[in-house]
Amino acid sequence: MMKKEISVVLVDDHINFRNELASVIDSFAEFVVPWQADNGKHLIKQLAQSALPDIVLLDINMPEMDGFETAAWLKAHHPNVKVVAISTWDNEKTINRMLSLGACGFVLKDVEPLEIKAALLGAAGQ
Amino acid sequence: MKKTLFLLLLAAWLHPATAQLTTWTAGLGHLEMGKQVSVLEDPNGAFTIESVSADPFRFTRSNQSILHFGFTRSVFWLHFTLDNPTKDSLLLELDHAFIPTADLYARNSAGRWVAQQAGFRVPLDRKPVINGAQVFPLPAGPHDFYLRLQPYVHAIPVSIWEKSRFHVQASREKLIYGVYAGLLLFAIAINLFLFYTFRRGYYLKYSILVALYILSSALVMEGYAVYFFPTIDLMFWYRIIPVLDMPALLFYCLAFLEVKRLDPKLYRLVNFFCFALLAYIAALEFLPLLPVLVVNQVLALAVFILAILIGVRTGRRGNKLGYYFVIAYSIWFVLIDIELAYIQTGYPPHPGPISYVSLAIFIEAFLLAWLLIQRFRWEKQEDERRQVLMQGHINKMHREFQHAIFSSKLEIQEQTFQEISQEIHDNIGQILSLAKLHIATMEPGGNTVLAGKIRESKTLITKAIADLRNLSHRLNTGYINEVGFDTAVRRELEAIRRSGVFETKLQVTGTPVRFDPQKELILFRIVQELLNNIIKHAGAKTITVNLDYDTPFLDVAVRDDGRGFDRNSNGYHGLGIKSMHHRAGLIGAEFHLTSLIGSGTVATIQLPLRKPAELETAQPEKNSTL
Repeated sequence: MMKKEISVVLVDDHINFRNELASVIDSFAEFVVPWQADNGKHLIKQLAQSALPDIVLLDINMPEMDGFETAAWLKAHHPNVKVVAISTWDNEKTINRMLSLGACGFVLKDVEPLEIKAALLGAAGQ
Repeated sequence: MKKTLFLLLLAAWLHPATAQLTTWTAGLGHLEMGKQVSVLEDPNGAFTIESVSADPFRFTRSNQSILHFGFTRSVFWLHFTLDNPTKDSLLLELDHAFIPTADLYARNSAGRWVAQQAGFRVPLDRKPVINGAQVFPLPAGPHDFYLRLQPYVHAIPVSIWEKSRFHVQASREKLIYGVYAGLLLFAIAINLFLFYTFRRGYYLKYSILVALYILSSALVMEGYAVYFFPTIDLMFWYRIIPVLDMPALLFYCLAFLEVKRLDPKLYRLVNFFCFALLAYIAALEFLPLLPVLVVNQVLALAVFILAILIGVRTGRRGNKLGYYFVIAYSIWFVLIDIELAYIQTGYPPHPGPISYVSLAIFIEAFLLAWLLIQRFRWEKQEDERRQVLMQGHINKMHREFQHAIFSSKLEIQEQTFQEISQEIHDNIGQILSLAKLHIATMEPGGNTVLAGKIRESKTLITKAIADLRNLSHRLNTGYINEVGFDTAVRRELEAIRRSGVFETKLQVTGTPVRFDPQKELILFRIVQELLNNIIKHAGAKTITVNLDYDTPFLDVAVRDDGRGFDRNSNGYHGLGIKSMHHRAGLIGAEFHLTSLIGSGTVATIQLPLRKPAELETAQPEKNSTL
């Protein structure tokens, strides 16, 4: 048997895509998605009431509180939570900025499910 | 007692002088009598010929070559003794029109006093000799003559003429005055014509002023009016017309020197003074004559001083013509002073038949005319300068307007691109990603046909996402500014090459540098449009782009090997070439397009990478170090 499942929280304002991706990630034996958030603020609000997740899969373009702000907040308040950025497509500058804000991985949204799994496992293993 | 004795002795000494005999000699022609006459003042005009001739000792020798009595209402008696032993016919002339009455007394053969009457109160056609001045025929032989006259203000040259000499001289004088007046009338005519042509008020005012000048000098002061109006009361007009000159002159000064604009305070003051003058003229009729004549002289001086003051003030405030006015009126002022001196002292005598006032008027009229010409020239130059300036303004405004239009067009375009890019990123991209995710999780359940289709769909969607990502990037302003012009062009060409229809080449010379983001964006949009034109219309196989950073310019050349086009063809205008031209101009670049049917098209853009000022100064620096 595997050891304890890795918890992944998805933060993305595109709810359909997020739900689909959540179900993909949930379908992997190694991961569990306890809850999701629409944006950074929503995430912070829910974190106060829930156990800390191992990984936050963080979209960049979001209303109210975007990926950059959320990553910075997480780095300051919960440095142990791993952040993996996810985006439709973005340029080098955006990626570099996310990495400098503490993200330990970056995936595109049209990624293959297996690549997501690899990226999440890589983040969890760090 | 002593005093009485002295006076008696003096009278005894004077007596031979009053009885002094002047003898005319043949061929003399003209004899000045100023010092040959004796004078007696008759303050109330009560003396008669009998009373004055009975006591010739009361007369005193004049000692004045030109008789002058100052401002006075007194009657004066002149006495002289003349012997004309020759056969010459002689005339006595009092050379002034402004003597109201002048009576010459001589004894007739019966020994009785007979008077000949002249003066302007006598109608011209009833004078002893028809002339504006007072002229009397003198009988032959030795005679005692007494002359009763009222001089008022004027100095009076007294002389005896041989008759024919007098008529020649008198005709010449009239002729000279005719020429004098003719020249002034000519000046008036020209300025009336100029007024009619240019509609500038000061030409008309000049004409009115000079017309008044002619009236006061030729007609009134010199008395030529009597030839036109034999019964005219010269003294009446003499009080009025020269005074009318004063407001006319000042009004002209105000208009010509633009005093209203340059010195509003002075303008109001002078205007007030002018209207006061006009009121004074209206009241003249009711004022006593002698004080009026004195006041008129003082006013004349005051007006010239005022005119000089206006000239100086406006000259100081930027109207150079003001100083010329000062010169003109200083000449006036001096000549008027000389005239006043002449009236008071009989010296200096008039230069020929023209008085100092007439001379001053003449000089004045032509100096003013000359100033008008100067002014016209300066105004014309100023107009031309203004026109050039205005044209410059208009051109500049036009350019700025064009600039503004194109800037806003580009801004709108860029905004639209940005929105489309965002839409693709946020919406279509998400949906396709979601679709891909769905497909990725599909289970064909051993159905190989289905598995193949799923795989195929996944590939198609992946390609669609990649293409959209590309498109989004190309439209995204921020992206272009981030990667820079050269990289954006490179990626654009790669995207075209990936489509598989065209071969693309990029040649970069020199080290690519970044420049103003706005210019980078506009330049990139032009290149994009050129590439789109090639893709849509050229039918080319190869697209080549050259970027040359080696000079102070960035040289961009976009070349294709397509079918080319004719500038005159209908399709040409659809290519947006004009717009590309404008946009290139907007960033200070030169845009050229060359196309030959069958040989493809080359578009070149040359963008200065440094400011023009730097380009200019760079050259001499280089030279100086050599």
